[in-house]
This record gives sequence, structure tokens and C-alpha cells, in this order.
Amino acid sequence: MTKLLEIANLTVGYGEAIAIDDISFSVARGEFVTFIGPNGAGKTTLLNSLMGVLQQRSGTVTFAGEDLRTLKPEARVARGIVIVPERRELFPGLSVEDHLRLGAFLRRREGRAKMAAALERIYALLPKLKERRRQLAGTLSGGEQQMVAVGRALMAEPQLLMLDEPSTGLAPRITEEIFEAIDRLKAAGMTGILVEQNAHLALSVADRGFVLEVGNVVASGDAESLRQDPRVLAAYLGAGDRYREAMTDTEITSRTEEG
Amino acid sequence: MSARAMLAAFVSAGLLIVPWLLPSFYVGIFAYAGIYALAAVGLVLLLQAGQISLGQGAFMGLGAYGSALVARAYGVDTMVTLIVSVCATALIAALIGFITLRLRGHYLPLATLAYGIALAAVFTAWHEVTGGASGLDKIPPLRLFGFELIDDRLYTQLIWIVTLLTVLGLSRLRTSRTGRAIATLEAHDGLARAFGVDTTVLRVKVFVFSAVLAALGGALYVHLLRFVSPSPFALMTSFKLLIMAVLGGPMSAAGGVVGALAMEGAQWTLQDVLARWGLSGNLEVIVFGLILVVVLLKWPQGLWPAVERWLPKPSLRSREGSGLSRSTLTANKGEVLLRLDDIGIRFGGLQALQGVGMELRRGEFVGLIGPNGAGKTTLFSIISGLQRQTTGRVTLFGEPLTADHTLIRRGMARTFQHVQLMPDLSVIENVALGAYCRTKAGFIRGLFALDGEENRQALASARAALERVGLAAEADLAAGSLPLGKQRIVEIARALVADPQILLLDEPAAGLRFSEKLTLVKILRQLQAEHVTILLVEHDMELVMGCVERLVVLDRGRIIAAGSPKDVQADPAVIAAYLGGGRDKAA
Amino acid sequence: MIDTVLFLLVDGLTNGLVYALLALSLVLVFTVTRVVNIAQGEYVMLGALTLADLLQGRMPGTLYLLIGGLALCAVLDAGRWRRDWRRAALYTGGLIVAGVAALALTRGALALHLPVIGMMAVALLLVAPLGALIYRFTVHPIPNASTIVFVIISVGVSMSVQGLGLLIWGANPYPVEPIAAGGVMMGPVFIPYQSFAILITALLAMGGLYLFSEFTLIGKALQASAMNRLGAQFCGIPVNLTGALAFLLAAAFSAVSGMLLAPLITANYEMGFMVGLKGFVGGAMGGLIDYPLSLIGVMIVGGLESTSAYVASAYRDVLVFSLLIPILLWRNTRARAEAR
Repeated sequence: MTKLLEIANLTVGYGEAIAIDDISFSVARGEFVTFIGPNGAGKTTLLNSLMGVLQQRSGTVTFAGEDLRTLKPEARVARGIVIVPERRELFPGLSVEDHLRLGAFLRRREGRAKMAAALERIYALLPKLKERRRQLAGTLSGGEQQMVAVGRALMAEPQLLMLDEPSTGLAPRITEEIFEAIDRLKAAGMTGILVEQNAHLALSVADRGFVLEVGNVVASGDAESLRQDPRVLAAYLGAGDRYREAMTDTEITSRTEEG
Repeated sequence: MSARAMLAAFVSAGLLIVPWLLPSFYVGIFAYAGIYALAAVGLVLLLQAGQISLGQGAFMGLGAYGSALVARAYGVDTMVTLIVSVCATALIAALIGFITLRLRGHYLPLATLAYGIALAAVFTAWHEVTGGASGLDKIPPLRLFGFELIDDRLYTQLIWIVTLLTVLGLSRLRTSRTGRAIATLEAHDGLARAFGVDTTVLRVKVFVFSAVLAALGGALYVHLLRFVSPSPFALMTSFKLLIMAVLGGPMSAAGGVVGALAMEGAQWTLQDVLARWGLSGNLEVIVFGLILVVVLLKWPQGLWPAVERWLPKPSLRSREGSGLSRSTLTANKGEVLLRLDDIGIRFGGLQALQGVGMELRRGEFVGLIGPNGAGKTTLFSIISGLQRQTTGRVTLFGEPLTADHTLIRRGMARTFQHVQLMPDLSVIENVALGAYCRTKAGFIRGLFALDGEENRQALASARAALERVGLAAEADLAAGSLPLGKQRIVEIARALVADPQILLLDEPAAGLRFSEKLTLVKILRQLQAEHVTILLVEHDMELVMGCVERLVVLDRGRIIAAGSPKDVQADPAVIAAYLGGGRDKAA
Repeated sequence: MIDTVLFLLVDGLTNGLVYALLALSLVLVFTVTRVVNIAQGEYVMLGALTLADLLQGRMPGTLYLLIGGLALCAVLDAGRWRRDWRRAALYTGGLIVAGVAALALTRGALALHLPVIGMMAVALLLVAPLGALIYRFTVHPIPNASTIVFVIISVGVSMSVQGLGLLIWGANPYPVEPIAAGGVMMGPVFIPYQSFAILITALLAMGGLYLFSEFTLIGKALQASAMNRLGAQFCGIPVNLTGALAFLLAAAFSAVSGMLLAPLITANYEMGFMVGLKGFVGGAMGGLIDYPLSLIGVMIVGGLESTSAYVASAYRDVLVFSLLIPILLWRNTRARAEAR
């Protein structure tokens, strides 16, 4: 399998804070990988840095053989890297169909026929959007907004689709609808990175998974084996006891302070 | 005397001699520069407090017209009319400030623009009193007890003395209790209020003070010129003052003076030089505009920071001796300090919290955890008084919760998820903010350096707190220059200076490296040994499990488990909440 | 009595429409780039004086400003050659073509003695690109600077452009021909044809902006960048170009405003500032974000202005600007309520 995305020793941070610490992995064409872990693990940071919203501090990100370091977000979209952001980032005053058309902004010269066909494909995948096509995004429910964000991203015909916590804040039934759409995309050969807090949900669609814990990959493997892996639970509920141990060696000094 | 103070004295003396060295034409220009500097310095203070004003010219006008009209009509000594006029302007500014300072974002500058123009328009429109656009002449010179100040050079010197004393006072204020509080106003209100600052009142005070300086400048202007007309107080002057403040650099009062001298100097020099090259005809406006744009593109922070880098460090205020007294906390566990009963809150259609009840007992170390969207942040905001619950009751030390800025006086301090330090101030100044609620010196005492003993105690307490957390060596560095791990610990030190019984920690380990987290845990353990009651919200489970005694787990707005770390880790409901139900259940 | 009221209404509407174009420019620039553009009124002056020059058969100084700006752009973007020489060549070539085209257009228009409306179009083509250039020089280099820094920078731009206006055109006022001279009696009121011209042009311009925003993808992209910058970037919309486009369109609207206004007053180098301020009041009533409210605002300004010409109230400005404060307070509470 050819590697579409290769990441070597990537470190990302906000100011002084390190959020992603020296991560390496690769994604092959047609593969769906997932990053799971509790919040604060650095999952969203990872996607934001791949999108070019955050500067990488060190390491290399290679996409289809090209080093992405200096590319702005819009240039990355042009290369086929597209995100469904955690906060959806919709345009409240524009209609559903406007969002979809804007998703294909960089393909606007391909002609009306292609645009219409692309719209139909999205409506077939997410039928609810067709019902709501004229409605303003600001008036949609959370689940419908999430579908708009997915539909908008797909309109760019991504080479690599990145989904950031698509289940956040949604009712189980809506989550299921969105994950069914992801299943179908995957079956159609889409390459993707899914970031999810809900580990079971994420591992049910992905081929491979990585467990992130505060900026580091603490476990990885194919989805099936990770489901049984105790390290997943440990990452979420803190089974390690480095802090407890550290404390026993250190004598607690109750420093006295002046009156 | 420090090198910095010597230099300042030397430069000030130089500025006071200048009027005697200049040809008489330039004396007037230098006097105006001093007046603009005075008003610009006031604007700098306003900018430091995160406000903006395009109406300073109008306040200058109020000061000018007030003094001129009263003196002209009643023949009172102008020193008296000047003071009366400045006081009247202060009252008007207090009223305007009270109304407009609640505006946020770009609404505030628009509002200042509006009253700036409206007030200035009154000067023209109220023809019978102000003489309209043509103005009034025969305004008496500055006079007190029959002594008249008519020598332009002496007058200029007086203006600069007033201006330089103001700069001195404001530099003092910057390192005082009130100054530290003002510095927090630029950021989100949450920080200031968490440390006991009544932000509304302080904002109005700053606004009034800046208006007073503008009015004083205006009054000095009118008795120098002895003629008053609306044009010097029109919108262009407000813009000019704002340019001076921003160009000079709003970080320090000296920036206002630098801005005024740079701007007036550049204008007159350009005019001179261009005229000498035979390029008159208003080319200087073009060049000046271009210089302004280029300078701001290069130094968005203004000129003063670029100058200050070459100056010796300012001398530090005393922090020796004993600090404020610290209450001794008893080990008497069992007493309930904080109690939540049936807390619920709705946002629109979303029930963010429902039926949350918990207790925090004296000396306890409790962790509050939960997956994304569980409602931890909301609960934390309710406890710290930033948000009001829809149902239920919060009881602190047996009494209901009061307004957010009073909680710290009752013994509850907090840290912030996103570090809220004033990056340009030194670490110890940041920490000393914690003593705000335990000290009293106000604006005036800070300005006139009458807060010496109290300020020394506050700084001594800050130094002691820094020693307590092991950051004594970093006390004088800029807080923004520290690595994040240390910044988070500075926040803890700041909370400790307030001498709290309860410490609320909002994700103190976020973004830290392992070694930094270890230091943090050690400090928390030490505080626990000193019987400080701690409530910790944190994502790093290993850290939480490694230091708390008891855990409360939230999921989807409800408490799903509570107990020791071991029990919680094994609780099936907790595991399901964290790892998710999977799809079988969902479908 | 009824005559007077009608007359004031027409006059107020005419003034209001002119300011409306300016208010639209301010709102457009603010929503897309978050710049409170004090210099917006200067395009009014540039539009009016460029038209005056063209109508009197002179080469307008604006042409040299444009060519100078394009040259500066080529110099500032010299770094492109190191990164990708092909695209840099294309880019520089484009700048040169634009400069030559502007020159040819102006010479052609002067040779053909186009009617007023034709000259207006030429003036528009000369002034509008200056907006994009100024965006490139002053906003593009420091995208994350604070509101206040942009305010001061725009004051600097305003000073420079006004100074350039004085340098090029001198302090004398220029008469500008209206699109159509004369007028018509409608019932008891005499209405000059220029009022109709203003009405039609203003409606065309506003309608054009509406159609552009609603029915073209680029227009939607402009709206998207105003509503959510990050979301727009995620769609691959180059937000720097939409910023430049907003500045360009705003310059065009303001220039049209100036060309319509010039025959009513006389055009001179400092006319822009006052007109800009009046547009500002309207824009501010809409909090710089709301088009319809801004339009109501400028109509109030226009109405008050024409009434005061009749009643001669010295307190006009005091009233207009004091009125603004309660409106801002109301907008502010509404904005905060919406944020919650």
C-alpha cells in the first residue's frame, strides 16, 4: 500500500505548552485510522496542526510526497486535506446548500454539471440535508449541523478526510446516522483520520487505532486488538502511578513561613 | 538612587531646561507638546486598562472652556477656575464613563467617537456662551493671589513639571495595589473579579482620571494661548492624542511623552526640512502618515518598548521584612466548607447540569472529573460565582454564595485553565495581585506613593509565597517569559497570597511536561499537608488518581460516581462514560 | 407647509442615499476584515476629483497613484521570485498589464470625450483597485494586530491620502458636472435630475452588491469569510484575497458616492473626511455589522441634515451623535445576549 500521509517526530504546542510530543505515524491510501484518548490528550491539536492552523514546532509532515510545513490551510485544502472541525465552523447566515457549494469553492471552475452531480452525491449520502437545503445553518439542530460540516468537507473531494469528534454533543441515534455515513465513505475507499473520545465507537469504523495520552501515543494496533487492550482503559482512567510513586520517595517538607 | 532613576531625573531636568534654550517661536510648540503629552499619558493609562477613547479632545475642551468662561465672567483667580473646571469635567466623565464603559468590542470606540463629536459640537453650537466658531479672546492668564504667569518660558516649564510629575505618579501607580488591578482590566474580567477587584468601579476611576488629565491639559492650554475656540478640541485632536499614545507605546506612562514628542517633533521637523528643500505645500502630512503606518507595521507595540530595551532596569520596590499575617488552618477534618445542593442549569434547551450535590470538607483534596461535555467547566463557574445556577443552592462556609468578586475575601481562591498572568509584569507583581483583597491603598495613595508600608507587606507576602512554591529565583522575570509549567505554579502562588482556606484549581496540569507535573503534584501535596482544602478539575487521570483522596465523576450533567480513586477506576458506569457505549447499544 | 416637507424628504433621501453607499463600504470592510476603516472617506474624495479631472480633459493624478501602488506591490512581493519564479513572473506580469491597461483606458477615455456616465466608470476602475492595494500594504502584513492598531494605521492612511490629494489637486474646489442637468416639477416640488441619477445609481450599486453576495460563489465566499474566518479557510477560501476584495468593493462604493455627491457640493481634497464621518454614524448605528440598520442610520443623518438647512439648528451634530450612544448601548446588549 502506498503511504498517503507520513508523519515523523511531529511536535506541536501552544506558546510554551507542548500538546503533541514527538509523534510518528503514517496513513496508507484507502485506510481509516483513529486517534482515541481522553480530552486534553492532544487529538484536536494534532488535526489542527495537520490542517495548518497551528504551526508545527518540529518534525515533518509529508502528504503525497510533499512537505506541508509552509502551507496555509487553504493550500492544504487544495492538496485534498479536508477537515470536519470539532466546532463545525459553519456560516450561520448561509443555507445548507450554500455550505455545500462553498465546500467545493476550489473546484468552482469544473462547471455546473459537475457541481450538481456532486451535490446529488452528498444528498444521497446524507438525505436529511436535501430536506433542509434552503434552511440557514444557524437554525439547524446540532446533528444537522454536524451533517452539514461533513457534507461541506466531502464537496471538496478530499484525498484525506479528517473528522474531529463527530459524536460530540449528539444524541446516540444521530451519532449512529453519522457513523453509518462514515462507514459508507470508508467502503467507497476514502482515506481518513478519525479523532474520537468515544473509543468503542471509533474502533468500530477504523482499521487501525492510536491511543493518545497527554501528547504521546501510548498504544497502537489494529482496531480489533485495541478493543481488548487494557492500555486503552488505562489511558482514559489513569492506571499508571508515576505520581504516587514519586511522592513516596519525596519527603514532604512543610516549609515554615514567617508570620 | 538607581541608574534608571538617575537617567529619568537627568532627562526630566533636560526637558525643563529646554524652554530656555529654544528660540521663542519653538517655545510655544514645546509647551503644546507638553500639554499633549499630559493628555496622552492619561490615554495611555486608559489603554492599559483595555479601554479606548476618541473623546479625549472633548474633555480637553471641557477643561479649557470651563476655566476660561468662569474666569472671564467672574474675574476669579484662574488657578481656582482651573481646579473648578477640572473637577466639573471629572463629574461629567464619571457620568459618561458609567454609561458607556459597559460597552464591549468595537462598540466602545464608536461610543467615545460619538460623545467626542457631540461634546465638541456643543462648543460651536452654544454660540451665546462660547462665542461659537470664532471663539472668545481676552482670557486672563494663569493667576494665583495676584501673581500672574505671563512669561511663556516659565509657563512652559510649569506645563512640563505637571506632565513629568504625572508620569512619575503613574509609574508609581503601576507597581501599586491599584496599578496591578488596572493591569488586569485589559484581559477578561474573570481574573480581576476572582481576586476581589470591583472592575466596574475601577474602570470608571481610570476613565475619570484620564479625563482629568485631558481637562487639565486643556485648561493649561487656554490660559497659555489666552484665546479659546472649538477647533483645537475637535475630533482631530482626539485622534492626535490616540496616535501619540499608540505610537509611543501604551505599556508605560513614559510612552505618552515619547509619543507626544515624537509626533510633534516629526511634524515640525518634517515641515522645516521639506521647506528647506523647497518642497513645502503640505508634503509633510503625506510623509507623516506614511511614517506612522510604517512605524506601526514594524512596532505594533509602539516606540517605548523599543527604547526601553536600552535603558537600565528600574529599581525594585522593597519587599523585605514580614508579610501580611497568615491564618493557621486547623487539621479539624469534617467541617463542611462548600456544599452544593441539587444544582441544575439550563442553556436554551440543553440541561447542562442536573441534580448535582456534593460537599467539600475542611482539609480535603477532591478531584472533579468527567469526559468531554460532562459539565465540569460549568460547575466550576457556578462554584466560583461566574455563573448562576437555574436550580439548587451553593453554600460557602454555611452562607449562600455572593457576587464573584467577594468570594476571595471569604477565603476561596482559584487558578485558571488558560493561564491568566499579566505577561509584561514581573512574577512577583503578578503574585502580589493575590494580596489585593487583603490590602486597602487606593488610586490616590498609589499615585502619591503613600502606600509604602502596605505595598512592602504585599510584596513580602508575594515573595514568601514564591519561596513556598520554589520560584523565588524567578521573582523579577517577566511572567510571560517563564515556561508554562512555572506560569501555572505562579498562579498557585498568587492564589496563596490571598490566604485562602479553599483553593479551586482549573486544569493546572494542562500542557505541562512530566517533570513539571511532578513539581506541581509536590506543591499540591505540600499544601494539603498545610491543611488547605483543594478542589481539582483535571484531565490527566494518572495525575488525578495519584494525588486526590476522593473523586467526583460527572457525565452529561449528572454525578455518576463518587469515592476513592480505586473504586472509581473500577466503576462500570465510569468506564462506560469514558470509553463510550459503542454502537451496538446506540443502534 | 406640505411643499416644504416634501422638499425636505427628497433632499434628505438624496443625501441619505449618498451616505448609504459609504456606510455599506464601512460595514463590508469591518465584517470581512475587522478593520474600522477611518480612511474610507478618502475614496470619496478620490472618486470625485478623478471624475472632475476626466471631465475637464486632464490626466487624473489617481492614475499615478495606481501605477505607483502597483510598482510598490511588485517590490514588496519580490520574495515570490525565490519561492516560485513561474508564479512570480505571472504575478508581476499581471501587475504590469494592470498598470498599462489603466493608462490606456484613461487615454482612450480622454480622447473619446466620453459622457459623464462613461467617465464615472473609468474613474471607478482607477479608484477601486487602490482599495485592494491599501489592504495589501497595511492589513495583509499584520493580520493579527489589535483593532486599535488598525484604527491608527487607517488614520495614517487617511492623512497620507488626503495629503496626496492636496499635492495633486491643490486646495481649490473643483466643479463637477451632474449626470444630467436640470430637473422636473413633480407636483409642487422641483426635483433635479441628479436626484434621480443618485437614486438610480445608489439602488443599482446596492442591488449589485446584493446580487453579487447572494448569487455568485465568490459573493458567498465573501459572506462566509465575514461570518467565520476559520470555517472559510477550511473550505479553501483564501481569506487574504477576500479581505482585499472587500477593500476593493468598499473603495468602489465610496468612490461612486463621491462622484454622485460632487455636483451637489464642490469637490476638494478634504471633502472625504466629513462624508466619511456621516457614513460612520450610519454604520455605527448598525454596530458596523448590520446593513439594514446602517441604512436607516444614514437616512436619519440625511434627513436631519436637510431639515437643519431649513430650521438652521446649530445643535444638529450634537443631536445626531448623542442619539448614537443609546443605540450603541442597545446593540451591545443585544450582541451580548446573542453571544450567550
